[in-house]
Amino acid sequence: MVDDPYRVLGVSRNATQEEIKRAYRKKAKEYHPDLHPNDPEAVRKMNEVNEAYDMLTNPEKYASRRAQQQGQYGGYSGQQRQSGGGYQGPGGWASDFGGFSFEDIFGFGFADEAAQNATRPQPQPGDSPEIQRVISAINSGQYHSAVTMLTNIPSTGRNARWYYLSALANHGLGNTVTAADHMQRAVQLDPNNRMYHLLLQQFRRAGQTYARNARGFNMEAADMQRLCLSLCAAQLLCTCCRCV
Amino acid sequence: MFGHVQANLDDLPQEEKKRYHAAYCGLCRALGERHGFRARLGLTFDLTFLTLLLSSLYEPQEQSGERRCIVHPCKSHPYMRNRCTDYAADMSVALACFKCRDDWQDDRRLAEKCYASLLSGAYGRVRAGWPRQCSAMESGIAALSRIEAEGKAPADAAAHCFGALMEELFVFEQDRWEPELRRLGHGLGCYIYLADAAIDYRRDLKRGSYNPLRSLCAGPEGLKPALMTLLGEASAAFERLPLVQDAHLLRNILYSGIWLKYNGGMQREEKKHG
Repeated sequence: MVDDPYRVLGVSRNATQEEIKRAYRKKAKEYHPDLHPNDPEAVRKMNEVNEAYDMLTNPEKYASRRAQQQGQYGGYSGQQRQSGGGYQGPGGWASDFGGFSFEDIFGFGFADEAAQNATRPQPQPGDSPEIQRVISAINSGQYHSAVTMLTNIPSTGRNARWYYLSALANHGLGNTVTAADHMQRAVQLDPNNRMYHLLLQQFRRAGQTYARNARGFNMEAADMQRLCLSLCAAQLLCTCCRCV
Repeated sequence: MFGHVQANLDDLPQEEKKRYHAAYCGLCRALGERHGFRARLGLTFDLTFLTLLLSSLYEPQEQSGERRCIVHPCKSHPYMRNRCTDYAADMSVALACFKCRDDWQDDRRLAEKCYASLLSGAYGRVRAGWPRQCSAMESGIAALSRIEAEGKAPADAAAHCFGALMEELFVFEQDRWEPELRRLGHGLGCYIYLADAAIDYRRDLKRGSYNPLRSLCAGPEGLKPALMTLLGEASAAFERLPLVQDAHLLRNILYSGIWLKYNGGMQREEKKHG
Protein backbone atom coordinates (compact mmCIF):
# COMPACT_ATOMS: atom_id res chain seq x y z
CA MET A 1 0.00 0.00 0.00
CA VAL A 2 1.16 3.51 -0.83
CA ASP A 3 2.51 5.23 2.28
CA ASP A 4 1.84 8.81 1.42
CA PRO A 5 -0.69 9.42 -1.37
CA TYR A 6 -0.07 13.18 -1.26
CA ARG A 7 3.63 12.69 -1.97
CA VAL A 8 2.95 10.24 -4.81
CA LEU A 9 0.64 12.75 -6.51
CA GLY A 10 2.87 15.69 -5.63
CA VAL A 11 0.20 17.69 -3.79
CA SER A 12 0.05 19.32 -0.39
CA ARG A 13 -2.04 17.91 2.42
CA ASN A 14 -4.46 20.83 1.96
CA ALA A 15 -4.98 20.06 -1.69
CA THR A 16 -8.50 20.52 -2.99
CA GLN A 17 -10.39 17.81 -4.84
CA GLU A 18 -9.71 19.80 -8.03
CA GLU A 19 -5.95 19.95 -7.39
CA ILE A 20 -5.82 16.21 -6.70
CA LYS A 21 -7.59 15.48 -9.98
CA ARG A 22 -5.23 17.73 -11.95
CA ALA A 23 -2.23 16.15 -10.25
CA TYR A 24 -3.54 12.69 -11.10
CA ARG A 25 -3.95 13.59 -14.76
CA LYS A 26 -0.46 15.07 -14.89
CA LYS A 27 1.12 11.96 -13.37
CA ALA A 28 -0.97 9.65 -15.55
CA LYS A 29 0.34 11.43 -18.64
CA GLU A 30 3.92 10.98 -17.37
CA TYR A 31 3.68 7.25 -16.72
CA HIS A 32 1.12 6.18 -19.29
CA PRO A 33 2.00 2.69 -20.61
CA ASP A 34 1.72 3.95 -24.20
CA LEU A 35 4.66 6.28 -23.52
CA HIS A 36 6.72 3.59 -21.77
CA PRO A 37 6.20 0.28 -23.55
CA ASN A 38 7.71 -2.71 -21.76
CA ASP A 39 8.83 -0.59 -18.85
CA PRO A 40 8.04 -2.31 -15.55
CA GLU A 41 9.11 0.75 -13.55
CA ALA A 42 6.55 2.91 -15.36
CA VAL A 43 3.90 0.23 -14.68
CA ARG A 44 4.80 0.24 -10.98
CA LYS A 45 4.65 4.03 -10.84
CA MET A 46 1.30 4.12 -12.68
CA ASN A 47 -0.15 1.61 -10.20
CA GLU A 48 1.14 3.77 -7.34
CA VAL A 49 -0.46 6.86 -8.83
CA ASN A 50 -3.75 5.02 -9.32
CA GLU A 51 -3.67 3.73 -5.76
CA ALA A 52 -2.83 7.17 -4.36
CA TYR A 53 -5.78 8.69 -6.22
CA ASP A 54 -8.06 5.91 -4.98
CA MET A 55 -6.90 6.47 -1.38
CA LEU A 56 -7.74 10.15 -1.51
CA THR A 57 -11.06 9.66 -3.29
CA ASN A 58 -12.32 6.58 -1.46
CA PRO A 59 -10.70 6.79 1.98
CA GLU A 60 -13.29 4.52 3.59
CA LYS A 61 -11.92 1.62 1.53
CA TYR A 62 -8.59 2.01 3.29
CA ALA A 63 -9.96 2.89 6.74
CA SER A 64 -9.12 -0.41 8.41
CA ARG A 65 -5.61 -0.50 6.94
CA ARG A 66 -5.19 3.14 7.90
CA ALA A 67 -6.26 2.44 11.47
CA GLN A 68 -3.44 -0.08 11.75
CA GLN A 69 -0.95 2.45 10.45
CA GLN A 70 -2.35 5.42 12.35
CA GLY A 71 0.94 6.05 14.15
CA GLN A 72 2.99 6.36 10.97
CA TYR A 73 1.60 9.49 9.42
CA GLY A 74 -1.36 10.51 11.54
CA GLY A 75 -4.10 9.87 9.02
CA TYR A 76 -5.29 12.06 6.17
CA SER A 77 -5.65 15.71 6.90
CA GLY A 78 -8.68 17.55 5.62
CA GLN A 79 -11.02 14.66 6.25
CA GLN A 80 -13.50 15.41 8.98
CA ARG A 81 -16.24 12.98 9.80
CA GLN A 82 -19.59 14.63 9.91
CA SER A 83 -22.31 13.05 11.97
CA GLY A 84 -24.45 10.82 9.83
CA GLY A 85 -21.58 8.94 8.30
CA GLY A 86 -20.83 11.29 5.43
CA TYR A 87 -17.40 12.83 5.06
CA GLN A 88 -15.95 15.90 3.44
CA GLY A 89 -13.40 14.99 0.79
CA PRO A 90 -10.24 17.07 0.71
CA GLY A 91 -11.37 20.67 0.48
CA GLY A 92 -14.21 20.23 -1.92
CA TRP A 93 -17.15 18.14 -2.90
CA ALA A 94 -18.92 16.21 -0.19
CA SER A 95 -19.28 12.49 -0.69
CA ASP A 96 -21.34 9.71 0.70
CA PHE A 97 -21.05 6.02 1.13
CA GLY A 98 -23.54 4.37 -1.18
CA GLY A 99 -24.88 0.89 -0.81
CA PHE A 100 -27.81 -0.86 0.67
CA SER A 101 -26.48 -2.13 3.98
CA PHE A 102 -27.46 -0.36 7.15
CA GLU A 103 -23.79 -0.19 8.14
CA ASP A 104 -23.21 1.82 4.98
CA ILE A 105 -26.14 4.11 5.48
CA PHE A 106 -25.29 4.88 9.07
CA GLY A 107 -21.54 4.84 8.61
CA PHE A 108 -18.80 4.70 11.15
CA GLY A 109 -19.13 6.41 14.47
CA PHE A 110 -22.74 7.41 14.12
CA ALA A 111 -23.43 8.53 17.65
CA ASP A 112 -27.18 8.68 17.82
CA GLU A 113 -28.27 5.55 19.61
CA ALA A 114 -31.91 6.08 18.79
CA ALA A 115 -31.27 5.99 15.07
CA GLN A 116 -28.89 3.05 15.39
CA ASN A 117 -31.62 1.12 17.16
CA ALA A 118 -34.13 2.16 14.52
CA THR A 119 -32.62 -0.15 11.95
CA ARG A 120 -33.24 -3.12 14.23
CA PRO A 121 -36.95 -2.85 14.98
CA GLN A 122 -37.98 -4.11 18.39
CA PRO A 123 -41.35 -5.69 19.15
CA GLN A 124 -43.67 -3.39 21.06
CA PRO A 125 -46.67 -4.18 23.23
CA GLY A 126 -49.70 -4.00 20.96
CA ASP A 127 -47.90 -5.50 17.94
CA SER A 128 -50.05 -8.07 16.19
CA PRO A 129 -48.60 -11.54 15.57
CA GLU A 130 -48.15 -10.63 11.90
CA ILE A 131 -46.13 -7.52 12.81
CA GLN A 132 -44.01 -9.58 15.21
CA ARG A 133 -43.24 -12.00 12.37
CA VAL A 134 -42.35 -9.05 10.10
CA ILE A 135 -39.96 -7.67 12.75
CA SER A 136 -38.32 -11.05 13.13
CA ALA A 137 -37.93 -11.37 9.34
CA ILE A 138 -36.34 -7.92 9.02
CA ASN A 139 -33.91 -8.62 11.85
CA SER A 140 -32.82 -11.85 10.20
CA GLY A 141 -32.38 -10.17 6.82
CA GLN A 142 -35.35 -11.90 5.21
CA TYR A 143 -36.60 -8.74 3.55
CA HIS A 144 -38.53 -10.45 0.78
CA SER A 145 -40.53 -12.42 3.31
CA ALA A 146 -41.08 -9.26 5.37
CA VAL A 147 -42.42 -7.34 2.35
CA THR A 148 -44.76 -10.20 1.42
CA MET A 149 -46.17 -10.36 4.95
CA LEU A 150 -46.58 -6.59 5.06
CA THR A 151 -48.43 -6.61 1.72
CA ASN A 152 -50.88 -9.13 3.14
CA ILE A 153 -51.89 -6.72 5.89
CA PRO A 154 -54.96 -4.87 4.58
CA SER A 155 -54.83 -1.10 4.15
CA THR A 156 -56.95 -0.60 7.26
CA GLY A 157 -54.05 -1.98 9.28
CA ARG A 158 -51.41 0.27 7.70
CA ASN A 159 -50.42 2.75 10.37
CA ALA A 160 -47.16 4.66 10.89
CA ARG A 161 -45.49 1.56 12.30
CA TRP A 162 -46.49 -0.45 9.24
CA TYR A 163 -44.90 2.16 6.98
CA TYR A 164 -41.77 2.29 9.15
CA LEU A 165 -41.33 -1.48 8.93
CA SER A 166 -42.13 -1.45 5.22
CA ALA A 167 -39.46 1.22 4.70
CA LEU A 168 -36.85 -0.94 6.42
CA ALA A 169 -37.85 -4.08 4.53
CA ASN A 170 -37.89 -2.30 1.17
CA HIS A 171 -34.56 -0.67 1.90
CA GLY A 172 -33.13 -4.11 2.58
CA LEU A 173 -34.32 -5.19 -0.86
CA GLY A 174 -32.75 -2.17 -2.54
CA ASN A 175 -36.09 -0.48 -3.19
CA THR A 176 -34.70 2.87 -2.09
CA VAL A 177 -37.43 4.99 -3.69
CA THR A 178 -40.22 2.96 -2.07
CA ALA A 179 -38.32 2.89 1.23
CA ALA A 180 -37.99 6.68 1.36
CA ASP A 181 -41.63 7.08 0.27
CA HIS A 182 -42.86 4.81 3.06
CA MET A 183 -40.58 6.41 5.65
CA GLN A 184 -42.03 9.80 4.66
CA ARG A 185 -45.54 8.41 5.12
CA ALA A 186 -44.60 7.07 8.57
CA VAL A 187 -43.43 10.56 9.55
CA GLN A 188 -46.68 12.08 8.25
CA LEU A 189 -48.76 9.62 10.26
CA ASP A 190 -46.70 9.97 13.44
CA PRO A 191 -44.98 13.37 13.30
CA ASN A 192 -43.84 13.23 16.93
CA ASN A 193 -41.74 10.15 16.43
CA ARG A 194 -38.12 11.37 16.49
CA MET A 195 -36.76 8.03 15.33
CA TYR A 196 -38.83 8.20 12.13
CA HIS A 197 -37.54 11.72 11.40
CA LEU A 198 -33.93 10.60 11.89
CA LEU A 199 -34.37 7.62 9.61
CA LEU A 200 -35.99 9.75 6.92
CA GLN A 201 -33.00 12.09 7.11
CA GLN A 202 -30.68 9.14 6.60
CA PHE A 203 -32.63 7.89 3.60
CA ARG A 204 -32.36 11.34 2.05
CA ARG A 205 -28.72 11.90 2.91
CA ALA A 206 -27.37 11.43 -0.61
CA GLY A 207 -29.92 13.98 -1.80
CA GLN A 208 -28.76 16.49 0.82
CA THR A 209 -25.17 16.00 -0.31
CA TYR A 210 -26.33 16.59 -3.89
CA ALA A 211 -28.02 19.85 -2.85
CA ARG A 212 -24.77 21.02 -1.20
CA ASN A 213 -22.72 20.15 -4.29
CA ALA A 214 -25.28 21.90 -6.48
CA ARG A 215 -24.70 25.28 -4.81
CA GLY A 216 -23.91 27.77 -7.52
CA PHE A 217 -26.01 25.84 -10.04
CA ASN A 218 -29.64 26.59 -10.76
CA MET A 219 -31.77 23.56 -9.98
CA GLU A 220 -35.01 25.45 -10.49
CA ALA A 221 -34.54 26.24 -14.19
CA ALA A 222 -37.37 25.01 -16.31
CA ASP A 223 -37.53 24.22 -19.98
CA MET A 224 -40.54 26.18 -21.05
CA GLN A 225 -40.41 25.04 -24.66
CA ARG A 226 -41.95 21.76 -25.55
CA LEU A 227 -38.50 20.27 -26.09
CA CYS A 228 -39.42 16.85 -27.29
CA LEU A 229 -36.70 14.99 -29.09
CA SER A 230 -39.10 13.09 -31.24
CA LEU A 231 -37.70 11.85 -34.46
CA CYS A 232 -38.20 14.52 -37.03
CA ALA A 233 -35.86 16.91 -38.81
CA ALA A 234 -37.81 19.99 -37.77
CA GLN A 235 -37.12 19.20 -34.13
CA LEU A 236 -33.46 18.68 -34.97
CA LEU A 237 -33.41 22.18 -36.43
CA CYS A 238 -34.98 23.57 -33.25
CA THR A 239 -32.57 21.95 -30.84
CA CYS A 240 -29.48 22.95 -32.86
CA CYS A 241 -30.54 26.57 -33.03
CA ARG A 242 -31.04 26.73 -29.27
CA CYS A 243 -27.35 26.14 -28.91
CA VAL A 244 -26.26 29.15 -30.94
CA MET B 1 -37.57 9.53 -22.26
CA PHE B 2 -34.47 11.20 -23.64
CA GLY B 3 -33.43 14.83 -23.40
CA HIS B 4 -33.25 15.09 -19.61
CA VAL B 5 -29.44 15.03 -19.44
CA GLN B 6 -28.89 18.39 -21.13
CA ALA B 7 -27.01 21.60 -20.42
CA ASN B 8 -28.58 24.73 -19.00
CA LEU B 9 -27.30 27.06 -21.72
CA ASP B 10 -28.46 30.20 -19.91
CA ASP B 11 -25.85 29.54 -17.22
CA LEU B 12 -22.90 28.73 -19.45
CA PRO B 13 -20.17 31.14 -20.56
CA GLN B 14 -19.80 31.51 -24.32
CA GLU B 15 -16.77 29.20 -24.56
CA GLU B 16 -18.63 26.35 -22.89
CA LYS B 17 -21.73 26.89 -25.03
CA LYS B 18 -19.50 26.56 -28.09
CA ARG B 19 -17.88 23.43 -26.67
CA TYR B 20 -21.27 21.83 -25.99
CA HIS B 21 -22.48 22.72 -29.45
CA ALA B 22 -19.28 21.33 -30.97
CA ALA B 23 -19.74 18.02 -29.13
CA TYR B 24 -23.38 17.87 -30.28
CA CYS B 25 -22.45 18.61 -33.88
CA GLY B 26 -19.60 16.12 -33.72
CA LEU B 27 -21.99 13.44 -32.53
CA CYS B 28 -24.37 14.29 -35.35
CA ARG B 29 -21.56 13.97 -37.92
CA ALA B 30 -20.41 10.67 -36.41
CA LEU B 31 -23.95 9.31 -36.60
CA GLY B 32 -24.28 10.33 -40.24
CA GLU B 33 -20.89 9.04 -41.29
CA ARG B 34 -21.07 5.76 -39.41
CA HIS B 35 -24.73 4.88 -39.83
CA GLY B 36 -26.24 6.98 -42.58
CA PHE B 37 -28.24 10.15 -42.74
CA ARG B 38 -31.37 8.76 -41.06
CA ALA B 39 -29.39 7.72 -37.99
CA ARG B 40 -28.86 11.42 -37.20
CA LEU B 41 -32.45 11.53 -36.02
CA GLY B 42 -31.23 9.47 -33.04
CA LEU B 43 -29.15 12.43 -31.86
CA THR B 44 -29.80 13.23 -28.18
CA PHE B 45 -28.45 15.58 -25.55
CA ASP B 46 -28.05 12.60 -23.23
CA LEU B 47 -25.44 11.01 -25.44
CA THR B 48 -23.80 14.37 -26.02
CA PHE B 49 -23.27 14.32 -22.24
CA LEU B 50 -21.82 10.81 -22.49
CA THR B 51 -19.46 12.00 -25.25
CA LEU B 52 -18.19 14.86 -23.10
CA LEU B 53 -17.95 12.67 -19.98
CA LEU B 54 -15.92 9.93 -21.66
CA SER B 55 -13.81 12.51 -23.51
CA SER B 56 -13.00 14.14 -20.19
CA LEU B 57 -12.09 10.80 -18.62
CA TYR B 58 -9.91 9.47 -21.46
CA GLU B 59 -8.81 12.74 -23.10
CA PRO B 60 -8.47 11.12 -26.52
CA GLN B 61 -7.07 12.96 -29.51
CA GLU B 62 -9.71 15.25 -30.93
CA GLN B 63 -10.46 16.29 -34.45
CA SER B 64 -12.20 19.57 -34.83
CA GLY B 65 -13.30 21.73 -37.67
CA GLU B 66 -16.11 23.76 -39.07
CA ARG B 67 -18.70 22.51 -41.45
CA ARG B 68 -22.01 23.40 -42.94
CA CYS B 69 -24.65 20.73 -42.93
CA ILE B 70 -28.15 20.11 -44.16
CA VAL B 71 -29.65 21.64 -41.03
CA HIS B 72 -27.26 24.59 -41.09
CA PRO B 73 -26.70 25.17 -44.81
CA CYS B 74 -25.66 28.82 -44.64
CA LYS B 75 -23.28 29.16 -41.72
CA SER B 76 -20.60 26.66 -40.85
CA HIS B 77 -20.56 25.37 -37.28
CA PRO B 78 -17.62 24.06 -35.29
CA TYR B 79 -17.61 20.40 -34.37
CA MET B 80 -15.44 18.18 -32.21
CA ARG B 81 -15.01 14.47 -32.69
CA ASN B 82 -12.97 11.65 -31.14
CA ARG B 83 -13.28 7.94 -30.45
CA CYS B 84 -15.69 8.62 -27.59
CA THR B 85 -17.95 10.47 -30.05
CA ASP B 86 -17.95 7.43 -32.31
CA TYR B 87 -18.85 5.19 -29.37
CA ALA B 88 -21.69 7.53 -28.38
CA ALA B 89 -22.91 7.48 -31.99
CA ASP B 90 -23.10 3.69 -31.89
CA MET B 91 -24.90 3.80 -28.55
CA SER B 92 -27.32 6.37 -29.99
CA VAL B 93 -28.35 3.87 -32.67
CA ALA B 94 -28.93 1.20 -30.03
CA LEU B 95 -30.98 3.59 -27.90
CA ALA B 96 -32.96 4.92 -30.87
CA CYS B 97 -34.07 1.40 -31.73
CA PHE B 98 -35.02 0.93 -28.09
CA LYS B 99 -36.97 4.17 -28.04
CA CYS B 100 -38.84 3.28 -31.24
CA ARG B 101 -39.80 -0.15 -30.05
CA ASP B 102 -40.74 1.28 -26.67
CA ASP B 103 -42.90 4.05 -28.14
CA TRP B 104 -44.55 1.59 -30.48
CA GLN B 105 -45.51 -0.62 -27.57
CA ASP B 106 -46.59 2.38 -25.53
CA ASP B 107 -48.44 4.53 -27.97
CA ARG B 108 -48.57 2.77 -31.30
CA ARG B 109 -46.73 5.53 -33.08
CA LEU B 110 -46.44 4.14 -36.57
CA ALA B 111 -43.75 6.53 -37.77
CA GLU B 112 -41.41 5.31 -35.09
CA LYS B 113 -41.99 1.66 -35.90
CA CYS B 114 -40.96 2.45 -39.46
CA TYR B 115 -37.90 4.28 -38.22
CA ALA B 116 -36.94 1.25 -36.16
CA SER B 117 -37.00 -1.00 -39.19
CA LEU B 118 -34.98 1.54 -41.20
CA LEU B 119 -32.32 1.48 -38.57
CA SER B 120 -32.22 -2.26 -38.13
CA GLY B 121 -29.25 -2.59 -40.49
CA ALA B 122 -27.32 -0.04 -38.45
CA TYR B 123 -28.34 -1.81 -35.26
CA GLY B 124 -26.98 -5.09 -36.56
CA ARG B 125 -23.58 -3.45 -37.07
CA VAL B 126 -23.65 -1.83 -33.64
CA ARG B 127 -24.59 -5.13 -32.02
CA ALA B 128 -21.66 -6.86 -33.66
CA GLY B 129 -19.32 -4.15 -32.38
CA TRP B 130 -20.73 -3.83 -28.87
CA PRO B 131 -22.39 -7.11 -27.88
CA ARG B 132 -22.26 -6.47 -24.10
CA GLN B 133 -24.11 -3.16 -24.31
CA CYS B 134 -26.65 -4.35 -26.86
CA SER B 135 -27.55 -7.54 -25.07
CA ALA B 136 -28.02 -5.51 -21.86
CA MET B 137 -30.32 -3.22 -23.83
CA GLU B 138 -32.32 -6.13 -25.22
CA SER B 139 -32.74 -7.90 -21.90
CA GLY B 140 -33.49 -4.57 -20.23
CA ILE B 141 -36.27 -3.82 -22.72
CA ALA B 142 -37.72 -7.30 -22.22
CA ALA B 143 -37.61 -7.00 -18.43
CA LEU B 144 -39.13 -3.52 -18.52
CA SER B 145 -41.95 -4.71 -20.79
CA ARG B 146 -42.72 -7.50 -18.34
CA ILE B 147 -42.71 -5.15 -15.33
CA GLU B 148 -44.91 -2.63 -17.12
CA ALA B 149 -47.33 -5.30 -18.31
CA GLU B 150 -47.73 -6.82 -14.83
CA GLY B 151 -48.04 -3.41 -13.18
CA LYS B 152 -47.51 -4.78 -9.67
CA ALA B 153 -43.80 -4.29 -9.03
CA PRO B 154 -42.58 -1.38 -6.86
CA ALA B 155 -41.45 1.81 -8.60
CA ASP B 156 -37.84 0.87 -7.97
CA ALA B 157 -38.03 -2.30 -10.07
CA ALA B 158 -38.77 -0.47 -13.31
CA ALA B 159 -36.37 2.37 -12.50
CA HIS B 160 -33.52 -0.02 -11.69
CA CYS B 161 -34.24 -1.93 -14.89
CA PHE B 162 -33.68 1.19 -16.94
CA GLY B 163 -30.73 2.11 -14.72
CA ALA B 164 -29.12 -1.26 -15.43
CA LEU B 165 -29.52 -0.69 -19.15
CA MET B 166 -27.98 2.81 -19.00
CA GLU B 167 -25.07 1.78 -16.78
CA GLU B 168 -23.96 -0.71 -19.41
CA LEU B 169 -23.76 2.06 -22.02
CA PHE B 170 -21.67 4.22 -19.72
CA VAL B 171 -18.95 1.57 -19.51
CA PHE B 172 -16.92 2.26 -22.64
CA GLU B 173 -13.74 0.43 -21.65
CA GLN B 174 -13.82 -2.12 -18.86
CA ASP B 175 -11.12 -0.58 -16.70
CA ARG B 176 -10.59 0.87 -13.22
CA TRP B 177 -13.27 3.52 -13.82
CA GLU B 178 -15.96 0.97 -14.56
CA PRO B 179 -17.52 0.89 -11.04
CA GLU B 180 -17.93 4.68 -10.88
CA LEU B 181 -19.22 4.89 -14.45
CA ARG B 182 -21.75 2.19 -13.58
CA ARG B 183 -22.96 4.09 -10.50
CA LEU B 184 -23.23 7.28 -12.53
CA GLY B 185 -25.06 5.61 -15.43
CA HIS B 186 -27.35 3.68 -13.12
CA GLY B 187 -28.33 6.72 -11.09
CA LEU B 188 -28.97 8.78 -14.21
CA GLY B 189 -31.02 5.95 -15.72
CA CYS B 190 -33.22 5.72 -12.60
CA TYR B 191 -33.64 9.50 -12.57
CA ILE B 192 -34.60 9.64 -16.28
CA TYR B 193 -37.15 6.86 -15.90
CA LEU B 194 -38.86 8.31 -12.82
CA ALA B 195 -38.72 11.95 -13.94
CA ASP B 196 -40.45 10.90 -17.14
CA ALA B 197 -43.00 8.93 -15.11
CA ALA B 198 -43.75 12.04 -13.03
CA ILE B 199 -44.37 14.18 -16.13
CA ASP B 200 -46.54 11.46 -17.75
CA TYR B 201 -48.43 10.57 -14.56
CA ARG B 202 -51.74 12.26 -15.31
CA ARG B 203 -51.71 11.17 -18.95
CA ASP B 204 -51.08 7.56 -17.91
CA LEU B 205 -53.77 7.70 -15.25
CA LYS B 206 -56.32 8.92 -17.81
CA ARG B 207 -55.37 6.22 -20.29
CA GLY B 208 -55.10 3.47 -17.71
CA SER B 209 -51.47 2.95 -18.75
CA TYR B 210 -48.77 1.72 -16.45
CA ASN B 211 -47.00 4.32 -14.35
CA PRO B 212 -44.48 3.29 -11.67
CA LEU B 213 -45.45 6.18 -9.39
CA ARG B 214 -48.87 4.70 -8.76
CA SER B 215 -47.28 2.40 -6.20
CA LEU B 216 -45.99 5.38 -4.17
CA CYS B 217 -47.87 7.22 -1.41
CA ALA B 218 -46.49 10.61 -2.35
CA GLY B 219 -47.31 10.53 -6.07
CA PRO B 220 -45.52 12.67 -8.65
CA GLU B 221 -45.57 15.87 -6.58
CA GLY B 222 -43.64 14.18 -3.78
CA LEU B 223 -41.00 12.63 -5.98
CA LYS B 224 -38.37 15.36 -5.81
CA PRO B 225 -36.52 14.08 -2.69
CA ALA B 226 -36.23 10.65 -4.32
CA LEU B 227 -34.94 12.21 -7.55
CA MET B 228 -32.35 14.12 -5.55
CA THR B 229 -31.24 10.96 -3.79
CA LEU B 230 -30.80 9.20 -7.13
CA LEU B 231 -28.85 12.13 -8.55
CA GLY B 232 -26.90 12.30 -5.29
CA GLU B 233 -25.63 8.77 -5.79
CA ALA B 234 -24.89 9.44 -9.46
CA SER B 235 -23.11 12.73 -8.84
CA ALA B 236 -21.05 11.27 -5.98
CA ALA B 237 -19.67 8.77 -8.49
CA PHE B 238 -19.07 11.58 -10.98
CA GLU B 239 -17.11 13.58 -8.39
CA ARG B 240 -14.84 10.60 -7.72
CA LEU B 241 -13.71 10.47 -11.36
CA PRO B 242 -10.55 12.45 -12.21
CA LEU B 243 -12.32 14.84 -14.58
CA VAL B 244 -10.68 18.13 -15.39
CA GLN B 245 -11.52 18.83 -19.04
CA ASP B 246 -15.03 20.33 -19.40
CA ALA B 247 -15.65 19.77 -15.67
CA HIS B 248 -17.78 22.91 -15.26
CA LEU B 249 -19.86 22.10 -18.34
CA LEU B 250 -20.44 18.56 -17.09
CA ARG B 251 -21.47 19.89 -13.66
CA ASN B 252 -23.83 22.37 -15.31
CA ILE B 253 -25.56 19.36 -16.86
CA LEU B 254 -25.62 17.23 -13.70
CA TYR B 255 -26.64 19.95 -11.23
CA SER B 256 -28.75 22.29 -13.34
CA GLY B 257 -29.60 21.25 -16.88
CA ILE B 258 -30.88 17.86 -15.77
CA TRP B 259 -33.82 19.59 -14.07
CA LEU B 260 -34.93 21.58 -17.12
CA LYS B 261 -37.20 18.99 -18.66
CA TYR B 262 -38.59 17.78 -15.32
CA ASN B 263 -39.31 21.29 -13.98
CA GLY B 264 -40.79 22.41 -17.29
CA GLY B 265 -42.93 19.30 -17.59
CA MET B 266 -44.20 19.50 -14.00
CA GLN B 267 -45.02 23.21 -14.37
CA ARG B 268 -46.95 22.55 -17.59
CA GLU B 269 -48.90 19.76 -15.88
CA GLU B 270 -49.63 22.07 -12.98
CA LYS B 271 -50.96 24.77 -15.34
CA LYS B 272 -53.13 22.29 -17.24
CA HIS B 273 -54.71 20.68 -14.21
CA GLY B 274 -54.29 23.24 -11.43
